Amino acid sequence: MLGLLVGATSSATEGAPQVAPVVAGEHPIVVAPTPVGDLSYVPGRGLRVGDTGFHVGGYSNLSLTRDEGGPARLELEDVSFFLIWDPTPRLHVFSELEFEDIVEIDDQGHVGSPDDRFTAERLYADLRLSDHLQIRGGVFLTPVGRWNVIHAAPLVWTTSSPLSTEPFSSRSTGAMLFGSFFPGPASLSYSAYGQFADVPDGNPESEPDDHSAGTRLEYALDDWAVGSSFRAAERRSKWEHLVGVDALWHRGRFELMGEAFVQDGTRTRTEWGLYVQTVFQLLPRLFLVHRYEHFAPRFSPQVNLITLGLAFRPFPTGVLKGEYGIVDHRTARTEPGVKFSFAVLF
Amino acid sequence: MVRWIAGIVLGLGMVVAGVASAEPTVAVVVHPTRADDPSLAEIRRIYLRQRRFWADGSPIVPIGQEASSAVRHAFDRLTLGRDPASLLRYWNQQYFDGTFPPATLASDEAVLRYVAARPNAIGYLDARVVDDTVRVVRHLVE
Repeated sequence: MLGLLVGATSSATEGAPQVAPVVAGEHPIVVAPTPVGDLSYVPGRGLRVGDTGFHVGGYSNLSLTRDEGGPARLELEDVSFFLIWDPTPRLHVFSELEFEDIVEIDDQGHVGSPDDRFTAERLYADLRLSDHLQIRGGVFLTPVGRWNVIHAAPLVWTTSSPLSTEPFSSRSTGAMLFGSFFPGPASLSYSAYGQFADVPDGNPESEPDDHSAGTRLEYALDDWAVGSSFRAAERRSKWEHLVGVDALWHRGRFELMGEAFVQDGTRTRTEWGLYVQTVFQLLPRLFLVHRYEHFAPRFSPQVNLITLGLAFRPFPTGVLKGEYGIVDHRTARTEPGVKFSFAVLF
Repeated sequence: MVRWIAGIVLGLGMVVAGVASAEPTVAVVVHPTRADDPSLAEIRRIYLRQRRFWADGSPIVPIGQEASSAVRHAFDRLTLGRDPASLLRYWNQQYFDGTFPPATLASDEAVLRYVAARPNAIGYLDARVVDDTVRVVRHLVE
């Protein structure tokens, strides 16, 4: 193995290196020479296929939940595979193929796959014309808010998602223009998208938008960033409009994040919601997480939720989460109880 | 007594010198034909893969050094402005979009040779190793 690593280092020195993940997982744990270059695997950063520009990676999430008055359930929720191809610096092809709700076991010993499905969660190509203008076409995460575009289990601090991040289709099929400008030390990023086709979805219960379009602006400077989003969507000949704002601030051991949105529509009532989440680093690998949410949906009572939890990172690309949720109105989507999960990038 | 004091002073001096030399002055270098003169903020964006193109539209090829190296520690601290845990979360999020950190090379000499041979590359290394095969665009000092 040492010889392989040394060989990899020397070949990278002479050739055109493509990737070397930072700090943790800096070195590949497996390196195998092939006719197309070294096949190397770095935990949490995937498998690099020689000099082809291909990478294969992904993440997985295992959860254990027990809502009050309900059974405990152990569920393998996600196994997602990233297929990445960067043939040139100007072309980036990305796909996320996801197996969802694969298997569930409850405390009565019942085993099943209640809602298992396979989805092309994302499948798009980016044409990078410049830092200011890039074009994306395909299936991509809808650029609304902050949570939706980083919602993968290993990247967020809680097992549950804020309800305020769910009142719109999380994915869109169409085209998007995006880019960044850099006024002084700050950065101003934009995205503008339109949905022209149905989202490929293995979930028969979901109802995609017929059409939608939206924009997002984000201004970031040093330790903080603020964003705003607008989205208009047509579903069954009814239009609805969403306006949202979000913010992120971190300094030292402390992180503060929040989002708020309001959505109205023709022939529908207005709904709105917000959440504020704080994270404090107790120990180098242990984080205290708190979140308050208020959600006022269209057709059911307003709810207030408080989530208090811990997140432990046993290694840099994995996270073990535990949390307890308190809610003032119980619904199918807001059950009080405990949730644990373990998520890992691979 | 005087010898003891002299010995202590000499020892402290060696320790201080040792600490100082453990954190080298870092030089950020480009190919001699590259006209760009990136600011510290621009270097940060380049190494966070937020900025990908030079002013003439050519793709930027940023080259880093291994995480265990002193020059990498100094560069990360002086340029990226993030603690290691925050930086790790940043790259985890970038991986979710298929973006990887800059490639690394194993030594100052390797970075020097790499940048000297590629007009689109940018690298950093111990300032004492720099020669006229590259152009220094920024010295990073405490």
